[in-house]
Amino acid sequence: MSGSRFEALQSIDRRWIFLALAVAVIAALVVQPVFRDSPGELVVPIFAAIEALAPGTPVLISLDYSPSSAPELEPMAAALTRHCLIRGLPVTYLSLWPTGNHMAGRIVERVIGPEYPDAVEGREWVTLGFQAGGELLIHALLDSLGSRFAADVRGIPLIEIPALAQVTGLNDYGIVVSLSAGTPGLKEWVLYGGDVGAFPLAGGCTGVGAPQFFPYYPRQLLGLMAALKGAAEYEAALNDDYADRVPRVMQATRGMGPQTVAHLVIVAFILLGNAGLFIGERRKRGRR
Amino acid sequence: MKRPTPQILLTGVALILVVAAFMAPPGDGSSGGFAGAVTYADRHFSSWFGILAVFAFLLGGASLLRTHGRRVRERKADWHYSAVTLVSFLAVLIVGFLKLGGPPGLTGDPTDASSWLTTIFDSVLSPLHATLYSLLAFYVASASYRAFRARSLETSVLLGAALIVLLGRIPVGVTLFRFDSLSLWLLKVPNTAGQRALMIGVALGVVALAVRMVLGLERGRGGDGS
Amino acid sequence: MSPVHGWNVALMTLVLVTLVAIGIRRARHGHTAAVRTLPGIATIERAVATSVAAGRPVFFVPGSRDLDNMQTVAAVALLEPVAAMVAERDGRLVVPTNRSMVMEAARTACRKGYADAGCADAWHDDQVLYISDDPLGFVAQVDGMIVREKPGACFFFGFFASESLLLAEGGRQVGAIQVAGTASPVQLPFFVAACDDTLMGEELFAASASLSGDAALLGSLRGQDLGKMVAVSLLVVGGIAATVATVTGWGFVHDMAGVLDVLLETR
Repeated sequence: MSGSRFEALQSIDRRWIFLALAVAVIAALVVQPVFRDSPGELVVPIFAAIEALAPGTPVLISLDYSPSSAPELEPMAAALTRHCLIRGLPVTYLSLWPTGNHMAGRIVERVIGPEYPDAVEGREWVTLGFQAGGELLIHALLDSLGSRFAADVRGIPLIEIPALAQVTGLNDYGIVVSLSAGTPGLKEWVLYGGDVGAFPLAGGCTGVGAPQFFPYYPRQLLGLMAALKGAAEYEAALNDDYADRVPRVMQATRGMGPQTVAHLVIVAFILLGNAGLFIGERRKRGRR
Repeated sequence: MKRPTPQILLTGVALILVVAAFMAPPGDGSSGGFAGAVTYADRHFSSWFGILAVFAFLLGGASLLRTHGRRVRERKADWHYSAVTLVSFLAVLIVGFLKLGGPPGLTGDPTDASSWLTTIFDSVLSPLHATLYSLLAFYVASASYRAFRARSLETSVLLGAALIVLLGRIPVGVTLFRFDSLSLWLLKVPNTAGQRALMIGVALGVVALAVRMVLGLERGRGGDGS
Repeated sequence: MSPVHGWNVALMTLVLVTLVAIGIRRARHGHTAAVRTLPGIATIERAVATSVAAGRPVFFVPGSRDLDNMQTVAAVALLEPVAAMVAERDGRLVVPTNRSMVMEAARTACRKGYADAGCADAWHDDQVLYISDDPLGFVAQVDGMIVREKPGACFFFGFFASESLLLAEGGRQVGAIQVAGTASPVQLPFFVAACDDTLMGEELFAASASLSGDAALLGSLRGQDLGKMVAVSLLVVGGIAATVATVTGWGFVHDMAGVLDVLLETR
């Protein structure tokens, strides 16, 4: 290979990178390779905290994401929902994002409906839905859910909902989990909820957002599901303990196949660029 | 120093909110006096912002209609994009306002599963969002290829960290290289140190900007810079 | 009134506010502070000059959040001197916004900037556009505008989420000189990879003060630095105290570390 060809490795047209990535991911989607994961250090505390709750203890899941980030965060919501329903913990869904009602609807439609047909809305789960206000909403909910939510999304007053029988404010939840794709989201839950209230707080976030949450672990965040891998680890924990009550391969575990291939393609291009740099530099020095 | 009305409002509201953040007594603020004002601010100012934003949206909507309407009317370059924007904007607005397909009336939920708005959300907005967001994967790939070059000691360290994290977050990297613990260490220790330093700096910057605004020194937000 | 909640946070806030106020007061009394030139600010000036000379527009995106976000406020404050810079060189400034209130604030800032440059008549409010509240819808249109209008300079200041790389790669594609500034830690790597210069974290909040050259504003930066010294001192003393207490088991050092822990803890 000539020197100029090596130098060309340093400036591959980005469209070739796009094409390689697309082909690799599509191939992985077609072949569907399954890579088993195991629960990691950040995910185990969340799983253990939910395991430790007495049946009937309410759990709050804040769906702070939109359809664009759902592929990463929805598997977390699904896994948490499965765990809570298996353990008999009533789930409350709310959202700081306007798209939250639809996100909760998708969990009901795709997980609760098909997998837990005996679960009853209002008893096993309740959707409060979206309310504007972000951090100010969290602040208001600390004392009372009723201060900002008069009823659930069906219009049923909170006082008539069995799933909320033990709940006045956020402190009555056994654990609060925010699944967050941005602002308002997990950071606001830490600063205005967990830091001020007296409830355990855990979180899930996109891969891009993960680095900013590590400073909060483990003092302000009980645990963190970071990106699709975090969800896959939670699914692995469910598979370990409840293999007969959850699907064998769940959404995140399936998604790790294409993700693995995508990471490998990126690593390959980074190495190619550096190979071009090293060889180019060496040849330049040789010519001198 | 010039003290226009907006600046006085800004300063007054900011001071009340700062006090409220630390000292708001329980209740709804109906007790009156300074304590009542502080509690009221703590409980209700968030709603005020929402109300203001709704009215401001009228300005945004009007601006959008005016800008794109003129492009279409004058057949400016690429006017057809403006036509698509106008038609989409008005169609969704009408469907939402009239609550087509869903429960009617003032209390009808426009996001009900049967409403046309929900159909538009699920069939148009969701796929568009997913498509645009997925572009990130391609851009991240090309930006990583461009940025991670071992040109110096610092960039070599950056490159090494990137490769470890990229491989440590996939099962193949864990099985072949056992990078999972190292990847987690990089995220928990050096990353956290950097993030904390940045957060402290940002917090100080926000405090300084807030003080400049409250004192009316910052340009563009009611202050005259004098 | 009930006791102060989070008294330690209140105390730290009071200390920092006091330090900034002292910085401003000292500057007003003639104690000027030497402030290093931020590389990003120098690039802004170069980018505007190059873009206008090439007859290409200048794009300024003031983040993707509303005016209740301090980063948006900082971006709008920075817009005013940038608008003046473009006006002085008889260039064209385009400001896409994704919140109506930001649009109004940006128009006010641009009008003021153009007036400061003596070019009030050259300003048209339509140069500040409202696009969409939806961040990805916003990105789609702004990227489209960038591809069609081929700006010579793109400035991205304020809070960004996933929009950061989508916007910056769009500008890079048309060869624009790009400067970004954000306090959003997770978006900084994307801007660093795709832009010519980046204002990181606190630099975004200092930029408008630095560009204005106003003594009082620069004095606030001095106060900010004093605050940073306090934070660093507490970190160093706390780190040493905790380490010594663990290694030696000395009671008084343990107590000192405990006091610092109470002072700085958030829950």
